[in-house]
Amino acid sequence: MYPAQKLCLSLAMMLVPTFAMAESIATIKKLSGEVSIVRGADTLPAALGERVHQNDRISTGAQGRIGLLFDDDSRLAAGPGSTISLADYSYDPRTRKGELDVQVDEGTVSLIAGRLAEHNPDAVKLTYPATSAVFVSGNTFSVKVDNLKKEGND
Amino acid sequence: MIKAAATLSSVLLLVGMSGCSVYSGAVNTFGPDKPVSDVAVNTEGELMLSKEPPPFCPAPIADTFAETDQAMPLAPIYKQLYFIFDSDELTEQSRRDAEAIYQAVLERDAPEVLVTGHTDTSGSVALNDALSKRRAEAVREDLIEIGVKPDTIRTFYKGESEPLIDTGDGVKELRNRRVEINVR
Repeated sequence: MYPAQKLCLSLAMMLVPTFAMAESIATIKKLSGEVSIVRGADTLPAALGERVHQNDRISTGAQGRIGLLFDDDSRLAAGPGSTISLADYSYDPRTRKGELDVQVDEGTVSLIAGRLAEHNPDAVKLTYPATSAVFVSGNTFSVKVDNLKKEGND
Repeated sequence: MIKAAATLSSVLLLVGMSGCSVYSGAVNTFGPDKPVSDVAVNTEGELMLSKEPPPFCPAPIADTFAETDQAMPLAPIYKQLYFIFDSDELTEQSRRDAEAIYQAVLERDAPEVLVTGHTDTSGSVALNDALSKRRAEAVREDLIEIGVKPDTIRTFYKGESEPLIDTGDGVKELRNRRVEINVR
């Protein structure tokens, strides 16, 4: 085994106990403006440093922005006026397998894939309407989704 | 990698040919660094070249995401710090590296630090377990001292069980006397 692999493996293994809780999947690392999280029947204000869970639905206000760091080091940023759902996430730090699926209903979202994509690029995906504008710059995948209903194009 | 580079350069070529870039009025045969073309040099009299892209070019879509990308979390840092033999004292080089890492921790929003201590295979397993724990704790103390919140630091210790370099038992090896530090 290469030293770098060994390092990663040992780091991965030490992450196991802390992130073993089933549904907590990412940490809020950037936050500005108004951002709310719908979790089950509750609506909570987002707070810096707190964890988000699978199936959380995140909405940013007109000045709101949020940045998430997932446990596999995938990173996501959502701009103002965005609504996203953390539809699916699983990550096994030992095998580095699992998947990430974030559904973008509205707004602008950028994603940088982490370890999940190292062996399987298909493991990380954004789901968005076919009419969205997509932009790729370096390792960053960005998508802009307009809310057609809001603009009266229903 | 080569394929990616080829794709990138063809994209750049397309962008360049579309005319929607800054020295667009000129046929620039000197490369992107020089805004003066052969045409300009060979023309008598004054020649004004627009420094702006043509007005009919679409606004670059990248700008659409500039505001969003300000919320992109920084990439996690993975580093190693090395120790003097049989000690929880960093080597001189690692002490300098540590300063930079600690600074990076302070510059982050909501930082978390994971510190894992390791030893080389010289000495008994029990001694090395204790030593690796002391190494992780030493880094933790340093972090707290410069102002990192204690509850955001997690320490682990592995003794000699996970050497970076396979040496066999009873071997002094600098690269195994380390803490692995993950800043998130």
